[in-house]
Amino acid sequence: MSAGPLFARYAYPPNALGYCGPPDPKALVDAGSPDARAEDLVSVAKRFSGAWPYLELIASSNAIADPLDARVVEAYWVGSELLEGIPATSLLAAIGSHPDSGLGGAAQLREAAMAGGVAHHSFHVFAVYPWLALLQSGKREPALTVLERCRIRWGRIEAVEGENVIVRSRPLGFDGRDLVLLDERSEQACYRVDGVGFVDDLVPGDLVSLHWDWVCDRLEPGALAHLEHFTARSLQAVNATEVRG
Amino acid sequence: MCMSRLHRAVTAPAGGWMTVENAEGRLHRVSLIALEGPEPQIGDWLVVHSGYALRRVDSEEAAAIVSELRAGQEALS
Repeated sequence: MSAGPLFARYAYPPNALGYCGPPDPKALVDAGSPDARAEDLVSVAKRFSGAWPYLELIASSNAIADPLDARVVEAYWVGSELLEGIPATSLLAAIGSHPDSGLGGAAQLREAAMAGGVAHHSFHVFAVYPWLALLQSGKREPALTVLERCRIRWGRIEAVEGENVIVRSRPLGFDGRDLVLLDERSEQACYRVDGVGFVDDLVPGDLVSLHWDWVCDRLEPGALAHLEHFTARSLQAVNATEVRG
Repeated sequence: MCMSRLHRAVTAPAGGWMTVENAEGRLHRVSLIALEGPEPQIGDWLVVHSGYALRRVDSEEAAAIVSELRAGQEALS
């Protein structure tokens, strides 16, 4: 898959909710179409100010000229070998380069980066967002819900119901000290709304990735292994930090 | 990939929600459930993340953040 559709399918769910990226979600859908101009995709992707520094970092660390190379985009959202070998100091510098980075108040960020943090979306959600600190200070909700919906999760489709699916997935939990993955349960997600969708012909048994309330992609076994591995690694990194709540 | 962002309150709180405006003039409805202290008032600056107001920012800090954001956006463009 080329970079545009790959970036769009993962960036669309929070963009449609108004949480990040350009104001009009159609701009992302258009820029992410296979026949869109490369400069339009760059322009839109830079508006995702949380993701862009990671894409630049992954690309530069692997001698890839284009931050929107499909290998880079996949590494950030799903995970791949490209994330190995990026020094924690480079990761911290990339995160800190964004002018919004100080607003989150993530006191444990440096510790988590040094404890094995990676330039993966899950690390951004767990370590850069302010929600883990809020969770540890006793604000269970909405902190846990935001952490759960904003990470890229995986699951197996149980049923297809119109434009929705029922998926078996492992939700994020909090044991009072650490973030953990709980036992599987069923959840509902959509794969198409108002003509916008990124995966067709879903059937029970398909392995898929999810972001917020959306199905983003089908996952091949290798991609699933990467997503599981880098999610676990990010959890391990943030759980290794001192609780300050 | 979202970041915490600075917004200004443009409506009075109602039922735990209020409307805020970001630096681009875009309006959002945000929940106040995660915000500690008294309810914010129109004109207050708030740090917002994923649809939730998280903390208040005084006008001096807000001005500094807006200035940094503009510089950052120019660097990205």
